[in-house]
Amino acid sequence: MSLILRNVRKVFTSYGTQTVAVDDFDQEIGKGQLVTLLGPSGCGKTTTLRIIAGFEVPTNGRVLLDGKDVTNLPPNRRSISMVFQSYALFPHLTVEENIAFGLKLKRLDKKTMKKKIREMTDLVGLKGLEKRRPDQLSGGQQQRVALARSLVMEPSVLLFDEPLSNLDAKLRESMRLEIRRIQQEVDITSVYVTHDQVEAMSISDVIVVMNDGKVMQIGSPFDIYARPQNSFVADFIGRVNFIDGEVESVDGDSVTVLCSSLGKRFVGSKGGEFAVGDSVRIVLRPESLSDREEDKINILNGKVLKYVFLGSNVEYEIELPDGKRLNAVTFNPIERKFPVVGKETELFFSKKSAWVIKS
Amino acid sequence: MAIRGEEAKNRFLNLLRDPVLLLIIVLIFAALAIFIVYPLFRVFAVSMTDKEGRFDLSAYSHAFSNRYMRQGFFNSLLVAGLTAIFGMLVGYLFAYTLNRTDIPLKGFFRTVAVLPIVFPPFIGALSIIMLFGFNGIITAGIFGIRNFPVYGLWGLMMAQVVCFFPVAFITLDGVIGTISPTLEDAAFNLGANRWQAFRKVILPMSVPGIASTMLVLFIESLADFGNPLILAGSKFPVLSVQAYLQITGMFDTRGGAALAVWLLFPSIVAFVIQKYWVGKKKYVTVTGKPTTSVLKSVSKPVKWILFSLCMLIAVFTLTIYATIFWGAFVKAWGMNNTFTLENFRYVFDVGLEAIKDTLIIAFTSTPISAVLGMIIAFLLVRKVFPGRRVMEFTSMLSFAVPGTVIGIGYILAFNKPPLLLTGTLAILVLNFVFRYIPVGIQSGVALLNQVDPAIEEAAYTLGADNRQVFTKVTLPLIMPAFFSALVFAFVRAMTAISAAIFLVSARWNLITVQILSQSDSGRLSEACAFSVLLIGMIMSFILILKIFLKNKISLSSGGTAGQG
Repeated sequence: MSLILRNVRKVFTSYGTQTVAVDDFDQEIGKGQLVTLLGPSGCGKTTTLRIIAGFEVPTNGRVLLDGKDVTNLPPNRRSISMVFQSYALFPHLTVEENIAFGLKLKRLDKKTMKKKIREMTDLVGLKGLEKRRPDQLSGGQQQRVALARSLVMEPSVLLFDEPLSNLDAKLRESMRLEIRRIQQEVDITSVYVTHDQVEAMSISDVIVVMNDGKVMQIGSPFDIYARPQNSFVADFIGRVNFIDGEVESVDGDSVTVLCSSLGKRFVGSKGGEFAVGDSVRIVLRPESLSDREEDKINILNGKVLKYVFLGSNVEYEIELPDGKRLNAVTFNPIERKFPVVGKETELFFSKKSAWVIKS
Repeated sequence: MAIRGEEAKNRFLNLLRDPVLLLIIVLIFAALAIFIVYPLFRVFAVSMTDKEGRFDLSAYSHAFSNRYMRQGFFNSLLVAGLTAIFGMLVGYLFAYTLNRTDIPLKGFFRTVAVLPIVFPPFIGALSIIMLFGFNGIITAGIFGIRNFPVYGLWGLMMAQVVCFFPVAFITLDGVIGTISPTLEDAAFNLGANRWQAFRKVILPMSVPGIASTMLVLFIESLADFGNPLILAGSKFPVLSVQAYLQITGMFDTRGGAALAVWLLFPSIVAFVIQKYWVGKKKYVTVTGKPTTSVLKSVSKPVKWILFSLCMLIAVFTLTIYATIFWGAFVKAWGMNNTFTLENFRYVFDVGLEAIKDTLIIAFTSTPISAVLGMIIAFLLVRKVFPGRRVMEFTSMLSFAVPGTVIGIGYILAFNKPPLLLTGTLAILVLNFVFRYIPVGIQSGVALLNQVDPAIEEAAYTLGADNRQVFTKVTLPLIMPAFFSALVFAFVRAMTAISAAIFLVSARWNLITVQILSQSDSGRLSEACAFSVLLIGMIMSFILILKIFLKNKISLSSGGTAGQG
């Protein structure tokens, strides 16, 4: 394990009011992994990152880097580099000088330094821009300089603080693939902070979902999406429908849930340990609802309220007999029928896609 | 509670893990305590004890039972109040007209409104006497009036308004210049006429700036020493001059100290209001798109009225300064106006030592003051340490403390071992360093607040320690503030008088003191020659620095602190 956070807790005190920014964060990050801290603003993800970097000292807990306790070590004496949201390039230095900044402090000889800078500019795609100043670069190019400047230090851990949030949508998509490529090529342990779930899904080995300073779930992107452990994670990642009910029976990994307001039973997959009678909710993604007969194990009846044509898919809203509304989506609308507003319709979902959690 | 203790412990640990930073903070605290707080403390202590060192307030009761002294207190407040109002009005007129109309000659007006900052503050008084005094070219020369009431309230106020309105202009220019013209467009669009748009939008939005400006002018006027020494006369006593005369004329240190405390009190009150109340009330207009002014805020006739008013004041201001130049080149002002260079010969005969001393003192104190200002600004904005707010208040305090008070404090504090500094170069240099750091701190803090802290954090993560972050990143980024601090500390050091007049000695004298004593003995042309030389040296320094820095410095940043 190259980076370990042990029961890290951070409390801020200002004018007598205490705010728990990070509550009992405990996680080990393996060599070469990219771990994303994901959550809404104010969830403590940035504070956690700043504790790893050394800008904040945790109130309790320890930070271990390559087996050494670095909790109280200042940022300049940890082998950790950071890519900032605002890039934080030195405006008075050229691209080359920005990348050389840390190397010069290490008193590296000129030849090695030149070689390393060349390798870096090749790796991140900055060739030919070495003599420019930051204000003569585009947002994407500045981002590359920030990355190069951090990577050239060959740190044990690389930190990213919402590095793409200042870029426009198109560039963001290509840059995140680029960051992932470089991260895997250099095989560097990384911690990445973002509030953008698509970004988190697309680049992470592990996602840590945080809310209100607490860790809500740690898992692979697939687990986080398909097997959320609680309503917050289910709701925060992607779009979701909840159907509330009670456990009627448990059989292996299947749970039968009785929804009394609809007068129906549904069979779902077990997302926790339940006893008969427990209040639970079924997590149902819009794309899991279909009109195909083969998923007929669970049936919902409802009326189409409205639909929105989005090109590749059609999103529509269904009203159930108990007044609750569900979102559904069908893909490839060119081939398929459009829903008709006001029409009573039958929708089906499989056991596999009905993920049952405690409510 | 446990957690708060933990937090404090963490902060302290943070400091301990960087002993150099800790040492610098301790040293700065010690320096501020010795060279700003201790002299003030001595003023209080001396004014409140009798010869045997017992607590005794008789110096105060004496000062207040004396009608003359009491009059001084009220006169000081009256002049300060009037200067604040009129200085602000003139500053506002310039700031509004230059920002909101398309009058011609804007560059000229801007120069006239900013340039006086680099002139010695009291030459306004000198010039007013030459224009309106007994031998004044306007009163006596043109109208034949010999007894025009130039000494006293109105003369003094006029001199101060001319000296200090640039301070008001610079602040208000910043305020009005940043009010987005789209707000006026919006007001027009909602049915307001021009007057309503001004009264309901521009004026309310500039109220914090107006209040802050007036308080600053009030402090400047109270602290002013040179102008009242020349202009106030015996019929119109003011505190700063009375405190000086009490000490140098009557050798009554206690009485002088008591008057200094009287002078200090309103200044500190105004400073605290300005800093902690008005200073926080700022309107910020945030607009995404850059807005171009359409300059239709005033109608044509109003525009030309504003232009004429500005022109009138500009001509008056220029006349004031031109008089000094003219006066330096005539035989005897008002009586024999033939051209001569005699005055300059006299200046070099009598004043060569003072010129050398002034330059030595200015060139020693200026860089120290500017560097110290940047370090303190860096600590205040970027570091968390116990007593940070105390450091901020103390280091900015010398702006609020009238020079007379600090001058008296210095002679009281440093007249015996181990700090026997009276009569030395050190006492003048130290005084200037600590009096003029607020300028550097102010512009440093302002600039640092605009620099993304992440830039410095990036340097830390790349392995830089505190010192390297400061020298390799922070300092290059706040260079403009450093150089404006350098310029202003230099200008102030060259033109200082109120505190310095207590600290000069036979060995170390200043040009400004020479100017005052020359004009006091009626040698106006000689005083003018000294002034011209002084202005010449200041301008050359700024010019050389500008060429050296390829025009990167501007005169109008950070110019609001510490006159005289």
